[in-house]
Amino acid sequence: MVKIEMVRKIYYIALRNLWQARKDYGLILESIFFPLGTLVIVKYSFSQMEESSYTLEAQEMILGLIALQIYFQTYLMGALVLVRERIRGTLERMFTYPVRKVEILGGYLLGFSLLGIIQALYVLVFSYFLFDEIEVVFNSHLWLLAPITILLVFTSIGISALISSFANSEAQALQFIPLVVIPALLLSGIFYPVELLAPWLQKGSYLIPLTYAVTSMRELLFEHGDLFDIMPSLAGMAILGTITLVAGSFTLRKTG
Amino acid sequence: MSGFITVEDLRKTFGRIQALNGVDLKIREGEIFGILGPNGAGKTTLVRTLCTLLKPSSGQVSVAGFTLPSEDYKLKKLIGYMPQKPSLYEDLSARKNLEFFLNLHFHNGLRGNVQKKIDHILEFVELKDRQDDDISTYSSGMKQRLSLACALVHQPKILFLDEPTSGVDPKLKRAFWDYFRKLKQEGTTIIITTHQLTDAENCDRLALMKNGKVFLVDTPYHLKNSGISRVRITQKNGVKEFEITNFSEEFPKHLREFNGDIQRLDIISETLEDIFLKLTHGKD
Repeated sequence: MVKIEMVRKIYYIALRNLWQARKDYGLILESIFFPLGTLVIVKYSFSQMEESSYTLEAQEMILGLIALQIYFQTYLMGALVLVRERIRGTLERMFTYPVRKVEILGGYLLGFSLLGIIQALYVLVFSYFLFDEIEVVFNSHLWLLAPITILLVFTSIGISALISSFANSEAQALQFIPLVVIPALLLSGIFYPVELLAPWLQKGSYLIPLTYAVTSMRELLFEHGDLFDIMPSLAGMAILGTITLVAGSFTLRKTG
Repeated sequence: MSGFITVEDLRKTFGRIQALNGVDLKIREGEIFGILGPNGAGKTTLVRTLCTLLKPSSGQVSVAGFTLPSEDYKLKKLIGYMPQKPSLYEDLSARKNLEFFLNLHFHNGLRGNVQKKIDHILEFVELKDRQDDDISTYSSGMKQRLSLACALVHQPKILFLDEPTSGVDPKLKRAFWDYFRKLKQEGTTIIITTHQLTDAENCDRLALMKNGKVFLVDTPYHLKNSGISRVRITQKNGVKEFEITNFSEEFPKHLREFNGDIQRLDIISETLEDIFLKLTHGKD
């Protein structure tokens, strides 16, 4: 009975998050056009460069960009929604109801996972029409993108919960974006292999959830890996996600 | 400890600020209990501690038999809280706000009942006509009414209301108080913080707070009677003036002295506000 109650509350919190987001036209437009715009730039710039050990093929970058988009989008939406909840007092109000932190975070996870999966799918479909070489991506293991996406969202929500506790306004939450995005962009292997980085930076890349998502997506879709092959990456994201979510849940109580 | 809500030597600090400085309080079940005090007295901090939002720095707190903070989750099933600011989802309609908060509570899954409860509460706060509009279009008074509705919709046993009638017009304020009295008859315990002395007069008992402590608990009747009343009696042969306290009981004794020779009677009694200001100023 208790578990049914928990699932029910998680469902309603997820629904409320998704329903709220419908009015955020800027965010909706950004989430649709930013990844598509980036892919077009990738097609007409990187794919023109001579292949070398310093670059990846355009199609390999696409997967990294999908992962980046999900990671960034989830952080952005999660942080903005949490900061708004703190400022308006609705988060504090929720704490006077019989709702546990795990249910609140679970609701965010459920809602944003759905959005992440939808995003991954439409970007892949768009890539299919934009890049000739992308056909190799569509194989029978495509469904494993779902657990990768969910775990990536899992880590991103923990980060947004943690960072939003330091932000007293939406503008401040946005100021943390470079801190979240730039290390991920440079160290997770989206544009060049991680192996090309200095050894100490390679160690640092293991602390970035995006590294595991990018690695597992490539293993899955270009090296025809299966669940067993991507298990270490999934475990890496699960560990990082647990750490960030636990840290984020401690700061969840802090009100604006 | 005895009492439905008991607080013993409750202290709460925020960094260097001592918001609660040893509060002692006993609130009975089913009473309307007011907490009065100037800004910064600790009223909101006290209420937020009782409704599980804050953990005490020290002291003992028990609400409806549950010790706080260890049993806070069990207590949350019984309480409703209306904060000072509306704390509502501005992107949602009144109905969607109520549905969401009720669904965080609702345990037996009777879907029909959810809609009936929401209809009933929307009618009570006079928001039925605007129930589907985004509340970003609401006035501050309307948001206040919806905030109260969210605290009431799940029919809690204990209500914590932080300045519930601010921004509300006199007619609706009266309707709120009629409803609070009805809830009291049904056994609900209501704790109200307020600046407004008209609200204070409607409470069963009042606690006066200053500097993080409760320094007086009494009924509004006794508090008003403790004030000074200046009496001026115009007789055939002159005017007599005197001051008395405990007006209701002392004045009849003075009347006997005049043997019916009273042409005009003027009484200026200290209001509850005067008494409140005198008491809280005196505690500086």
